[in-house]
Amino acid sequence: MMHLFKKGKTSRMIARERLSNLLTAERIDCSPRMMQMIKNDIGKTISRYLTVDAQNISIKLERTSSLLIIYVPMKDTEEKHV
Amino acid sequence: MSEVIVITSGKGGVGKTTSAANIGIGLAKQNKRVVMVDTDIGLRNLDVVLGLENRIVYNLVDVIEGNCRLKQALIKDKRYPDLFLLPSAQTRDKTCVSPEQMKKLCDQLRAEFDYVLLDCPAGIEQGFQNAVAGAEKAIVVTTPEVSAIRDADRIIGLLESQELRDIGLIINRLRPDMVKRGEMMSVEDVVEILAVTLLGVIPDDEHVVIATNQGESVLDQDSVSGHAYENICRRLLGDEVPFLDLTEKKGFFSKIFHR
Repeated sequence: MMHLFKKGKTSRMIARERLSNLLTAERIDCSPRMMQMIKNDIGKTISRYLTVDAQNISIKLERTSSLLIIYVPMKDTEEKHV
Repeated sequence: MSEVIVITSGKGGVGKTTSAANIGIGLAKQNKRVVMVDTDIGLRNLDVVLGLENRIVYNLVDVIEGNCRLKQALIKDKRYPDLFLLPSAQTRDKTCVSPEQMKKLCDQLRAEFDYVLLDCPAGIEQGFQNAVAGAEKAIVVTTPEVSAIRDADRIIGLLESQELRDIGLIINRLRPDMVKRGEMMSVEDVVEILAVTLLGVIPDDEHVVIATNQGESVLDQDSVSGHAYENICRRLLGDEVPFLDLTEKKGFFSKIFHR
């Protein structure tokens, strides 16, 4: 029941999100704070040209490859008034 | 064809030793000659989990320092004729053994046994380095909690940096009811985050505590966790075994008769 009050997120989803952020940062030896700064900068840059959901940018790093994958969700056009 | 497998986790208390014991017993029950080595010098526990604590005469450090022959230190488990334990030293510390010495010991054991299982201490210091030195395969044990998964990720990174890439994951103490409610990470979540091959899932099961209290194995009790360990052993032996559906509810009759 508790999760209904936290933006609909269950504790499982929160744990998954926290871990995936933390582990990506640790795998490339970059602090979570720095990761957040990267996300902010990318959000700001792309926002100049496109309407993106800057709050939900995520960064992933596969352990076996050296490819950094950055997900930038587009903002739903229906919600443009928000 | 013998294999040296290290069982490790990074974080303490996630069920490394219990898993090591049950896997060792499971393999021995399949008529494989198994030796389990407790590499946690100073904090030995595999002996007590296996119920062999009263039979220790010599230990790992005695063998390495040449105070006894290897055969003298091996404890034969009377319940499982193919299972042996090489206990750790309780009164020494981790620095009295080097990775090279462990490697030599593993090669010696490899000649005599089908499986050499190394129970690794928690942490990433010398004890870990010693345990990993002679192994060609690793089993990483974690629970579905953020701290355990974070440490498992570190360990997997360290194993891979030492060219140990054959890694199987055990997720221990899973509570299917909590996963169903969205209050615990699922097997899929953990596997996706850690990106390694899943070897098995052990549910949070009181049978494990009961068996350990008695120095016995859950494999000898009719339990879901016993069944899960049995499946892990069969997978190690190369069988394709489907994963248990832990969310399955007990039937009406078994509910009445079991409790």
